[in-house]
Amino acid sequence: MLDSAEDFLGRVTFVTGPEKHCGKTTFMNRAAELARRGARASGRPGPALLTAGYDGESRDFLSGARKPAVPVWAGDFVLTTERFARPCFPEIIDVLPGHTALGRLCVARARRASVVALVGPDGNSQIAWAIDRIVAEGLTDTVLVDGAINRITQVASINGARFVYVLRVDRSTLAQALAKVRRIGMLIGLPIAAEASSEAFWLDDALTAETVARLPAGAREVVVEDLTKVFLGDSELRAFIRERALRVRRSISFGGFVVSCRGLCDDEFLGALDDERLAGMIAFNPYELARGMVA
Amino acid sequence: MNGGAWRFAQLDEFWVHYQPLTPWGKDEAQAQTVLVDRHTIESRFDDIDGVLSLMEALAGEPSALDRLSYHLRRMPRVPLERKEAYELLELFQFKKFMANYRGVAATLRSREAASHWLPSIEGTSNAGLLAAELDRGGSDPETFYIADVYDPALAAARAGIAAADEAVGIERVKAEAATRLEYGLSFDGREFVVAPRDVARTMAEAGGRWTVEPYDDTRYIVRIAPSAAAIDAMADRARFLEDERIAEARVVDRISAVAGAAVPDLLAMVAAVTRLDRARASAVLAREFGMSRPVLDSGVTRLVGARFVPCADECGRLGLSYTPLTSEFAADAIVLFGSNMGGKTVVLKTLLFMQLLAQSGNFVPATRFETQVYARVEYVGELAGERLTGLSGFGLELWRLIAARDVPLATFEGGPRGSDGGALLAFDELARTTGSHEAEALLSAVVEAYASSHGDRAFFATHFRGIARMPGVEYRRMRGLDRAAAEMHLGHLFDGAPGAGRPLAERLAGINRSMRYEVLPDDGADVESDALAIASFLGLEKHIVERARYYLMKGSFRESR
Repeated sequence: MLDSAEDFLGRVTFVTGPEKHCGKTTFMNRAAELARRGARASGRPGPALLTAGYDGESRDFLSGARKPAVPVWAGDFVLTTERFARPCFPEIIDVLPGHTALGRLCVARARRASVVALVGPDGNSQIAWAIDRIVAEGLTDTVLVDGAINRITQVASINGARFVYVLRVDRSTLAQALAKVRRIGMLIGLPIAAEASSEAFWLDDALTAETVARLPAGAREVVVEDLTKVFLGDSELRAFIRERALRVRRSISFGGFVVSCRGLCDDEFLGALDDERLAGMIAFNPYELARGMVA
Repeated sequence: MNGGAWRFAQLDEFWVHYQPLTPWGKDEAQAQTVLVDRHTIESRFDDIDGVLSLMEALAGEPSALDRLSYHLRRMPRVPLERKEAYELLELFQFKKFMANYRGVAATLRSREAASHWLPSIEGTSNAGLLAAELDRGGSDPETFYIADVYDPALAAARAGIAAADEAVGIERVKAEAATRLEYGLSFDGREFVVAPRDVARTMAEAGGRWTVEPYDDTRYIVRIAPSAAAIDAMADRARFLEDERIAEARVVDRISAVAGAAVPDLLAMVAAVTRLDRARASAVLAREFGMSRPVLDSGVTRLVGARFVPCADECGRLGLSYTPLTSEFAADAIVLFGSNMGGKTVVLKTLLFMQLLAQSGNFVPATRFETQVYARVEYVGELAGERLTGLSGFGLELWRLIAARDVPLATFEGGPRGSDGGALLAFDELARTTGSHEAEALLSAVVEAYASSHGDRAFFATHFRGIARMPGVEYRRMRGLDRAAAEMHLGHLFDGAPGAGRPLAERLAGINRSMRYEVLPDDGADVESDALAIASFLGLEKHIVERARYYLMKGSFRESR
């Protein structure tokens, strides 16, 4: 799962994760490599690589922590500023409206292999604009977006789009990681609300501990826009779902979890998770060559 | 211009249908500019007629119109100031703009209309030279890169980079193959791998060719270290990249000089495109709503079949019928009487709607609309949901009235009051929130002031019948409820009980079917108000309506107190 070109070709995939440095960009680089090879083999255009934020420099722009670079090949598409695109000898395809702190953004086609820094727009609507520009105009149908979970609302409106959830786990964070997996597992399983349901309480706002406290006692069925509007932790969400039915207006397709274990083995993680349904959605560190998997 | 007039006339609701496609057309639409120069407005009307003729000529070829829209929509904003050096993205924007400009011209040229709308950029004009220069870079008419042809040094630098990349790639392939062969680890394009500790340790001990660092207590991260040949190639690459950067900067400077010289041409092209875009949007609007060209040299305000579209739309949604306005007004002050729900406010809105649309350079949804161009178009009164700190509704009305009268206190785009064209003003129920004696007195005085204003035209909608009758003022009234029709259609509601509990929509439909939204002359004779009948229609208790009729019949309501 999530280890072949077919998992990414012809799709818009948002690579998300719970925090910085959880391995999103590293996973996206691997996915891009697989997609690129698949595209070449099938005569399709290369992938488009985007970020919802700023990526690709050796150090994080905000925290200064080490960050992986983003390699591109001739024929790939990138969304970034002109300055950051320069190393790949860019052919400018379009310019996004507005400015970012790092300059104006453009969609460009790489004319040679290089390492670039991706820069993303501030708002979800501009990510959607760029994806639409790339896909609708037939530049490529394979798009990878590196971005935080709260930037994936647009996924729902893009045909065939989905998100994957990347997280790293060690012994000290195992319990939290399991809770995150279970929480996402619950969120992706939320049923879609029937428009006609007059019983339902339609919440325009996000579902937080505060909004939960303000819900009418009689609201047995609560509807939120999509899973990104739920800001309850695993245990709070469980408690909420025990008492009320939670539904979404729009579903967001899910591609799976990518779990990188450190200090524990993959089987230990699955054992601790103890959930067959969720286990079927998990892929492990694509950079790991475990004993017995070495070629 | 008074933004209140725009809001009162509900033009925002209609304005969403006006959809220019270029960035400059959209800017204009967003600005909602009301023009005060008749020549400019007539030119805009001529342009709309021109596009309507073009549409007619292209009726058998709809794809041509689609192509026109396609190219206008794809035009990017371009820098219109001269610069020493433009950014690469700006050069791209020039190219994309000109590609679509030529696309528009080609669409029009087939009908020999291009020269009427667009200046030519072919040949030796500065814009033509810029277009030719930019066409040398890019795999598509709309894309751009700094191609090798721009500078002899570029090809050499890029060949060097490509050779270095190839050398690094070959070294990498060799190293990956050796790693697979010697240790069974397949990098398969990965930058690094996480490998079992014992394997990785052995690789570290083998020295030099791999870098190894701990991942956890059972696994290590392994990277392939570049060979000496790869390091040499990377050094070459860095040098060639620097050569490329210098050559690219030279190219950008040279194209920037060409672009700078073309700025006056580009300004003219953008102006031409904006004019065409604006006229296209207006023509589409005119077709969609069956609009006609206003006549702007009339001393009389004449409306024939004028449709106040927001109201017509709302009536449609509610299943009610809508009556277009046909009327004419010649005096400087016009007083319009009418009962509640009789349509007098809609008359005011219709007037401002037509006038503002005409002065925005658009046709109007009327069979005929005759008017003049006013320096100001204003609404005086309170708007829905509006409150000004410290002022009541009456206070706000007065504040607006003072501003309208005392122009030096207010600024208007069209210049001060008294300039050519005067002002068109709409007063809706002025002083309605104060006592009726004082309200009638105040209203009479304001009407009197505008009756001799010479050049302004002021409309006053009111239900105060006691306002003074003065020479030079036109008095009109809404025809109001057709009681015979009402008795026939909704007699049971007049009777009270049978109508009780009926939904509002049915009651509104009843009023709507029986109301005659027509403007008639008012001769001052006492006209019975429709207020009590409407109260009945809306479901007020029968005995209260009867008592109200009793007090009305009794004569002077004031004297009975």
